[in-house]
Amino acid sequence: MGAAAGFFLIFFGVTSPSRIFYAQNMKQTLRNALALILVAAIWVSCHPRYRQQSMQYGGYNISKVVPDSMVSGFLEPYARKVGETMNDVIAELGEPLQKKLPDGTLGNFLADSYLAMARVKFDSSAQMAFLNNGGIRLNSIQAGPLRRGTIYEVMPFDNLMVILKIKGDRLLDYLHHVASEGGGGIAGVQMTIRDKKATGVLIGGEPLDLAAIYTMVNSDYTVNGGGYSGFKALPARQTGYLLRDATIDYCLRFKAAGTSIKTSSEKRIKNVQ
Amino acid sequence: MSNRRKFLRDGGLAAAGFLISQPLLFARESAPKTRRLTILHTNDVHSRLEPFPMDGGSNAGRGGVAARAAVIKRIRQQEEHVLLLDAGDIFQGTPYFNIFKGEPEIRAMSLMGYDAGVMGNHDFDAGIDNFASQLAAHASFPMIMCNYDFTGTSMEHLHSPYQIIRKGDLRIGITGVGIELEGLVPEHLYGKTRYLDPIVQANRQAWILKKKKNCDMVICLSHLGDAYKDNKVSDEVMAKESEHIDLILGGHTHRFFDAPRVYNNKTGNQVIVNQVGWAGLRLGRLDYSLEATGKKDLQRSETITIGKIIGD
Repeated sequence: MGAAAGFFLIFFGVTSPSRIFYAQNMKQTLRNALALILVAAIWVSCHPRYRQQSMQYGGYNISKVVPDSMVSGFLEPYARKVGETMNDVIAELGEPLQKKLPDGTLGNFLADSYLAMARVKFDSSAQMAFLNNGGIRLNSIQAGPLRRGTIYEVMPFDNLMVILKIKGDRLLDYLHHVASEGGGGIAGVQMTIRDKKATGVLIGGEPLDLAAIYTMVNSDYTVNGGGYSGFKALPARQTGYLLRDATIDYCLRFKAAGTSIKTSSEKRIKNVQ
Repeated sequence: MSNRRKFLRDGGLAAAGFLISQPLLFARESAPKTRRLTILHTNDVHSRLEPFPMDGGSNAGRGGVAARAAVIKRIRQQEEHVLLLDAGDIFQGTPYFNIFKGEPEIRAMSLMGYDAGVMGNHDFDAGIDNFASQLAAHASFPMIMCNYDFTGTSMEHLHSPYQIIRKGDLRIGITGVGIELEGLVPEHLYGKTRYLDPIVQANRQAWILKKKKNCDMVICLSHLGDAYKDNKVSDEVMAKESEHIDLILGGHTHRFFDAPRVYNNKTGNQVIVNQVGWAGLRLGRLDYSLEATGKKDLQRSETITIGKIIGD
């Protein structure tokens, strides 16, 4: 078909319209016109038209299906192994946790766990912890028994804890970045987003000092340039500690103390238009 | 040139053309005029092999490969020509990935009979060498990438810039594009992979597939993301700047489309873009009718929610 179409395109070219319409011999005009019509008809029938002409939208079809037994059987040994390590209850969650912008209880719970474990294990002077909203991989966790596997689902990445020393002015630049992203998980800091900028920043309840040196907990992903490039030159302590393990260890401390986890619902980041 | 010679030339060419075209016309008459193609697609399944747990959450009981496999099997029984495609981020998101590094994800896709896939940024999460070895050991489907230069990496011989899949006498050309990795994926995970302009690369593959390989339809699997507020390259940008792509199956942005989006390409023809959220909660279904003239109708589109919902 392609070859034939090409042939006719060449043919079409040599049968120029000017010759046809200005020919003095009427017979020749007629013959040429017939040839042209024939060519045009074949050309039109061969020429591909890619335009989609109609579209109908289906609604959502809720399927009640019997799971495929072959695929269930294939998955079973993997599921058993996952269950062995992932189903143990590591804490009791006192209230449901939600992922939200500018901040939510789920992001704040995770940031709290990073800050608390950084203080326990590495640097008792750590003042703040952050995680980007995109790194929170579940939208919510229900109240009740919290399983190890759920922490893997909310933080599946093998991101490592990094502790940074950062001057107030550079911290403010990072907080503007957090504001431009619409917020995120945060601990030790309160701020207000106005016109995508961080304003009214409080660190540990005190106003930000642009000249002070602060101690920040963040992930190696962010520090190495994931989404924000301002940390690359800063002195950083690589802890080698998985952020996911920080959250699991944090939960286990509640379990050992026999108390359920409650994340303060106070707004850490506010939006003002 | 005399009139007579001119008549002979013009008339002769017309007659020759007519004779040449005849077998083609007859061939077309004997073949079925319109062929139906059902395209099923997923994106960003993120290691969600099991359904979401029955914890009272809004997705409880939904998703899972066993339920998806059953839905796909049923559609294959009903339709003659079915394509099953994935738009990336197969990996990362449940403990399965932390423990098994992607083996059950790739094996499940092979069992379900996926026809092709493209790499998402999270498919690099346990390193490019891990992805390559899982693919080499367990994939029965091709990985299609046209804008990652994998020279000198373990993926070098485990991908192709395009693939032609035959369904009956239909020739479906598939190409695939991935997102810029720098700043998104830690460098040590993607190694020597070089990101190339996805629009230039996809347009080139689509041209080859349509013009050289005579494909009836060209599909681009994309992990660019559907659209952004800034001028970052996306499925929307690619659709508008494309020429021979008919359909873009997207991912990355985890967007649940209410309906496929339609854009006009560079030459004013329509390009369809679709995406079905994430986690294998839904399966996209697009039913095309393809006429021998090259005309394509997206006759029906459906989004199938996989698995149970609470109260079922």
